[in-house]
Amino acid sequence: MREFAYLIVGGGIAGTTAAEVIRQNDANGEIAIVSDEPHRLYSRIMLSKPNFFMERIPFDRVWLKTDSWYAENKITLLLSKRAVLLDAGKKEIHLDDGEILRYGKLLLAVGGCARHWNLPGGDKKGIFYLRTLDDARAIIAAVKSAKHAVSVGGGFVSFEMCEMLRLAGIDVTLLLRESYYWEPLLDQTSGKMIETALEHGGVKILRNTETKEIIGGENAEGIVLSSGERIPADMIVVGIGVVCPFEWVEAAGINVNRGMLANEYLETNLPDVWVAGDSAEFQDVILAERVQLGNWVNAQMQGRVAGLNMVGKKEPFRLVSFYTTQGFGITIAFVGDVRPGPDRKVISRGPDASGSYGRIIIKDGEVVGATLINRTQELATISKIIEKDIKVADHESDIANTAFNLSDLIHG
Amino acid sequence: MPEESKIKKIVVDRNLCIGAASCVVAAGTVFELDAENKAVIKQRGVNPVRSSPAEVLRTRVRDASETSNGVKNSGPAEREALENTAIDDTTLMQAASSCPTKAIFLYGGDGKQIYP
Repeated sequence: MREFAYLIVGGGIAGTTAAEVIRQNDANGEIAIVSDEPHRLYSRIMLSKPNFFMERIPFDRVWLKTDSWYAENKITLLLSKRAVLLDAGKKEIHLDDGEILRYGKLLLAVGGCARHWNLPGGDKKGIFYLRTLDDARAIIAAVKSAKHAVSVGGGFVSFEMCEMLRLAGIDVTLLLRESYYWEPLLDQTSGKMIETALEHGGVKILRNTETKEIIGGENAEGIVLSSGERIPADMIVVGIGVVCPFEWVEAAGINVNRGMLANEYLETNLPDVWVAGDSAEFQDVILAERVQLGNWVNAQMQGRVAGLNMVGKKEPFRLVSFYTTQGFGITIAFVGDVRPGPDRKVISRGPDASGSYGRIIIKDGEVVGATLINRTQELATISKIIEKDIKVADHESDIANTAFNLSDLIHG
Repeated sequence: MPEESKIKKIVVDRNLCIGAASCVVAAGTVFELDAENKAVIKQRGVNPVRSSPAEVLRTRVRDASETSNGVKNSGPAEREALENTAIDDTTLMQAASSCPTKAIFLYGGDGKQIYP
C-alpha cells in the first residue's frame, strides 16, 4: 500500500497550491495529488474567457505547471483517478481503480461539478457544460460549426459564454428562468444594465422561461418551451449552478452542508483532514459567518493556508475575495459576500450618467460585500473597507453619492 | 529600499490579463484593477515611465484612475517608480506567479525576462 505524509484529493489550483506550499515548508515529506482529470494543473478560470476561446490567448497559456515541475518537487501526480471512499479511522483513501492510499494528513480540494440540466432530451449531443479543460475543448470544437446557440442560466459563466458565442458569429438566445439577469442576487437595475449590454451585443433574451424538452435526433436541434415556442439550437451551453456530490465524505463522518464544513483554519471535524477551494464551506473571520465561495483567488489562497496548516502552522484564512468579468462593453465585479438578506441593507451608488452602478451591502453597520458595474476601480478600496471592519453607519449618504471617494472612509 | 532587488521592471500584458486579481491579493500595494478590469501598477507621479508624452496621455485617458500624486498603468513600470518602494522581490514574484494567465512580466536590470 502506498503511503503519503500529505495526500491531496483534487489537482486544481487549491490542491496544487497546497502541495507547493507544503513542499516549501517540508523538503522531504511524501506528497501525492489525486485528480479525476487527465491533466496537470491548468487555468480553470481562463476556460470561460472569450479571448481564450477565440484563441487570442494562445491555448498553451492554459497550462500553469509543467510535467517536470511535479517531479522536481517530488510530488506524485495520480491522474484520471477518483477518490470513492474515505476511511478516516485507518487514514485511507480508496480510489476507483481499487488502489488504497494511506495518508498522514489529507486535503480534500475536490471542487464542484456543473449542475446537470434534467429535462427530456437532456442527454443529446450538442449540450455543453463548462467545468473542465475537456469541456472547454468540446465547446471550442462545436463553436466552429454552430449557427444557433442557446445559453441557459444567468451568471458569470453564461455572460462570458454569450460573449464568446457572439464573437464567434453565432446567433445566441439566452434563456432565463428568472424575470431578469442574476435575480435575486442582483437588483433589477443592475440586472437590466447587464441585459441591455447583452442585447446591444446581439443576444436575444427570453425571461421567465420554463423549458419542456430538448428536441432533435442524436444531436440537439432545439429547445421547446412550456409556452410551445420552439427555439432552434445546434449548440446549448448550460450554466445553472454548481453542485458537489459529498456522499462519500459524509459517509466518512465529515460534516457537510452545501459544502464540506471547516473552521477558520480550514480544518474539518475529523482529525488531519482539511478542505480548500470551491468545495469548502468555512468560517470566514472577516465576515464572521460561514460561507462557500467558488472563485479563483479564494481557491488559490485557501490552498495556501491549508498547506501551511498541514505542515503544522496555525494560520486562519483571511481574504476578502472577489470575481470580475468584462464583456459586451461593461465590467462586472463582485466583492465579498453579495448575498441579499433580511439582515442586510443595500446602498445604491448610482446609477450615474456614465452608466456605472455600485451596490454596497451592509450588515450590522459594516460593509460585507458589493456588486459593481463599470466601477471595478473601487474594488480594492471596498475590499479594504470590508477587511478593516470599518463602521459606515453614519456615512450612508456619502456612500450613495457617486462623487464621494470611498477611500475617505478608511482615512477619515 | 530592499537590498539586492533583481526585479527592475514590471509589465502587465493587458491582452492576457483577465482580472482574476490574484496579483492584487498577493501584492495589493503594487497592483490594482482599473475600470477595464485589467491590472495596473501603482507608481509615484515622478517620471513614472519612460514613454513618450503621447503614450503617457493615452495611458491616463485609458486608466482614468490616476491619483493626484501618482500614476497607475499596466507598465512598463520601473522598480524605482513604484509607489511602494519597500516591496521585496519575493512578493513581486508571488504576485506574478499567482497569475492564472501569466500576464505579469518581470525583468532584471539587464533587460532579461525573469518571469515567466
